[in-house]
Amino acid sequence: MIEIDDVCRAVGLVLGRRDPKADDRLEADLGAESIDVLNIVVTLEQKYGVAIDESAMAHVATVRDLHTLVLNSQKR
Amino acid sequence: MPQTLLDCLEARASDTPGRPAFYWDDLPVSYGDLWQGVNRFASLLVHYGVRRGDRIVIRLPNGPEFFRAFYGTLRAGATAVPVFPASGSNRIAALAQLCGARILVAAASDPGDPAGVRVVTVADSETQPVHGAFPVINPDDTAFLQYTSGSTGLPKGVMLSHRGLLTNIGQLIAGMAITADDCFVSWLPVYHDMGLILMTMVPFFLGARLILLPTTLANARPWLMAIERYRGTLTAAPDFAYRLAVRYVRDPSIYDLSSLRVALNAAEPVRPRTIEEFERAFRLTNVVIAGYGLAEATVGVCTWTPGVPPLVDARGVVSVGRAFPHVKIQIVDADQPVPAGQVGEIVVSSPANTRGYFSDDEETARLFWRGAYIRTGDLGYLDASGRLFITGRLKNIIKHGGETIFPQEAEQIADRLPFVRRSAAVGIESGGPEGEQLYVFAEVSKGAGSDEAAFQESAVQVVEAIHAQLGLRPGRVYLLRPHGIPITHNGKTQHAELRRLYQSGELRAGHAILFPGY
Repeated sequence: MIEIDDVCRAVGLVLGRRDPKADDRLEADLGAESIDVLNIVVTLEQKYGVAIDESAMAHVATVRDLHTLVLNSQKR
Repeated sequence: MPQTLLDCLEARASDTPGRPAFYWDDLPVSYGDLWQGVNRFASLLVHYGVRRGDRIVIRLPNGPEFFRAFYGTLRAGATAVPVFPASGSNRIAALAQLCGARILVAAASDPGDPAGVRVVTVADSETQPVHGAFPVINPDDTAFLQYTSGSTGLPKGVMLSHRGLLTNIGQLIAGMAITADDCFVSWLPVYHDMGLILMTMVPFFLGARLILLPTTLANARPWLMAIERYRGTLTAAPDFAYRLAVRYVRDPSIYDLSSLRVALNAAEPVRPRTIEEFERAFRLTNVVIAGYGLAEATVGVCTWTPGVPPLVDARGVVSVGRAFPHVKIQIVDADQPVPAGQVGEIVVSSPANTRGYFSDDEETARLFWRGAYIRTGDLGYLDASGRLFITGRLKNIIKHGGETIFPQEAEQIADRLPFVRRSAAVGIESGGPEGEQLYVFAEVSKGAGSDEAAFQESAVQVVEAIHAQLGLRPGRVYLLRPHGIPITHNGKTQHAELRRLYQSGELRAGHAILFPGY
């Protein structure tokens, strides 16, 4: 099971943030730029060995959304 | 013909004062208002004792204030030094010192106040009475310094004169067949050459429409929406922005980009696949064109011809087209020109070439080849009909999201952290949508802790420090064991070898990587 805290840490590592919270918004709260979001996706794909559906990224706002996306990618 | 950039604006302000110079936040800013703001700001600078040739650092994001500050600086006879607004205060202070600036123009909310520098806001000039006489500007005066990454870790200030800028503006117009009927849509940073010169100076010069957007494009939607809404005909972006638009726009069919005539793809390596996918997704034909340029040639050197299908060679390299008018491109190997088809360093001669770097004779001397040509540090070849293909680079530089970074810049920042023994920065292209990214490898000392939490904290500090200074985040930070970074016998970092070790998986297999585990 992929824990949300684990996703928070991975996001924190890309963004240089200590404790991102599950409901923090990537852009508005954590200051992610478009290129950082791409790096987060690639990092999560590598870390969890999943392929993330890129078109679903349009609906990702928070770290929790990313977590859900990773879980859904695992199921496929 | 205008002799200086100010002549353009002044003529527009007197001939068509009510006409919008650009739209910002969907509101027009007229040439008349812009010119008045420019004169007020110039008066404020004169009031502060600014003299002809003084350097003024401008740390402002996209928006009307930037233009008041930029052209106000020129109007006062001074030289503008636009900087990345997200740069850390140490970097701003270092730049101010390098160019000898004593005034920094910043946003009202700017907390930074580097020692020895007076911070001025554009709002300060709003009640400023306009001074009658401003210095006479010579076309060869340096209008602005474009700071670029330097191999010594110190940035170099490319001197761009009014004459050179107007020359390159003419070349860009000719090369892309731009007219006053074009409508520019740009989110590119105005504090950097492509966004400033191509996307704002060219429309001001022609009196063409300009829709200016903020650079904080977390996704491509505002860009695409603006093109549709304003029937934009010309836009420009690095390859990654087009990739982003293809990948993260769920339903491209809802956007009507049919008004687009030119979408320039430049400032990072152009992938033929990006052109293909973007045009397919948004139902366009021969609109995305590859281009090439560098700050030392003002900005543009060549672009592919709009409306003509792209040309991709056998290795999958897309041509950036033929040299602009009065630009000569040669390919040089071992200091000798080589024939068509052969790869070598690209050298460029152009009337828009810089005179050199501000107050840096050593780097300036290194820049030129046989007097008239500048060495680009890029590798490429010309085909038999003079079309240029970029195949790689000579200089050890990293292209990250359209920004050029020398590894030394990132390394100096990481090396200052107490737990870092030695660091190395390389550009890694993983084949993913993010494109080439800055990867930082940091050997950590034993005292730095050895559990996951300590590693996480150390790696976060590396990202934080680089972001605070360079305004961008590395694609990845790896913590390595001591001696994990390959070095030569003289102790120099072997960047290419490190990249190879990482990409082949040998770095991980050899247990050099401490953190993270992916």
